[in-house]
Amino acid sequence: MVSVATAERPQMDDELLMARFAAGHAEAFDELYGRYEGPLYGFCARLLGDADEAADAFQEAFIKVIEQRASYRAGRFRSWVFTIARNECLDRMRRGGRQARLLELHAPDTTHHVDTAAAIDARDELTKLLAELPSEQREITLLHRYHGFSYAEIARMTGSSEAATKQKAYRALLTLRQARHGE
Amino acid sequence: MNPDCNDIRSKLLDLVEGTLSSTAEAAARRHLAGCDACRVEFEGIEQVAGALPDAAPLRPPPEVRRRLLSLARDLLRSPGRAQPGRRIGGRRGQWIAVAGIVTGLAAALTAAVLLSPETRLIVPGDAVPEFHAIDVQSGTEISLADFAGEVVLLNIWATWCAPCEQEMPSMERLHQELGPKGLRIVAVSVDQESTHKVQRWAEERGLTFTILHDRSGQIEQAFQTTGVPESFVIDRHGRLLKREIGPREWDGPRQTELFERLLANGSGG
Repeated sequence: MVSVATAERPQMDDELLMARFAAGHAEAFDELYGRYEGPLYGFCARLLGDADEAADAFQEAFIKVIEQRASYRAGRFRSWVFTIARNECLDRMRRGGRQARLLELHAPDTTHHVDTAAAIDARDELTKLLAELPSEQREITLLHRYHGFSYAEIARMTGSSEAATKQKAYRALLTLRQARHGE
Repeated sequence: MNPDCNDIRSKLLDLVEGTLSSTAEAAARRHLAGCDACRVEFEGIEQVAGALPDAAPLRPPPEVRRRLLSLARDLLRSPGRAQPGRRIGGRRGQWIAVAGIVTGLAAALTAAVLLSPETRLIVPGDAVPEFHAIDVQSGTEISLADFAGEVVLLNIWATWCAPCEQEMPSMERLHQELGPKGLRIVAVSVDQESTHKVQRWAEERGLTFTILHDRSGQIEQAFQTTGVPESFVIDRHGRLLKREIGPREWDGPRQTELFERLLANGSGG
């Protein structure tokens, strides 16, 4: 998430937190984790459509953040961490050789901290249709609409051109429109 | 199609997102005013783009947080394992070891469970175990046998459990809709509190389906529950059809359709 300064206690930006973490301050990692836990897991869950797979991909992404803290080159932490998570998800999709399916997020553990957002998602027609988009169109839609990345940023993250990225985003909207109207 | 259409359509996304220059936007809008096909396409994607809901927040299981925060601390304490470019071989190794231990324990537990008829896990198709609990309204003891021949949604819950409370209104709506057709909703509280407190809790929330209370933990053992809420769909023959861990929208179309099918089918299956 983009850092938002508060009047009481200005927040450190992500780059500074990452630098402090690399310098040995565990609490800086706690703060970074807290900022990205929801958005990054939500991205993985919606891209993969599977709570357990999403938890694994999310976990692997953060393990890479931990491992690569010293080699991380300051830039845009947010793009970096989403790119790692995206690659983890794509690896899983390739390995599994399966299409992401509709979100059916059960309690993945026995503690029953069930997030009801999946149920909220599932009730919404467009969100269901979004989950059925081809993965290339879905990831762009998620990154742009839900996580605020520009098409230029997404193009860099996915190794594509901005024009191709926008074309896929446009196609995604067309697909959603057609699916919505049963065309 | 007008020769300008291809050019305009390549700009519709920018037009929807308001990122066209004012000159380009004016040209695009002029075209749309005179081209029905492009206007319909534009209005369609504009509508969809505007209707996409905000992302509801999702969180990973809490143990992921614990594991990652602890891993970060461990690595900071053991810098030798934290060299850049090095995979956390220790982590993988540890996890493999842990996985081995867990697998071994799970196998032992499974064996124990299978060898012990009293604790065998119930799965769909099995006859559900008998249980006894107190009806919070009448104060009398009720058993599963009292619902013989009926389609039952058995819910195990507790007053302190927020997800349980969250799913109760949908259960009440389902009861209102399908109770008259014969669906029995039986929610068994496993609170350690008094039966009176459970009854008051249910009354305050306007719950009119059957609420039972089992302080003994017998039902949790009998159904091998992993926590609350946990629900069991039972057919007319007393067989388990479905086990649901966690809260559900019980009056959603999928659930309602299942219960309607069960109720319509005299054989329950």
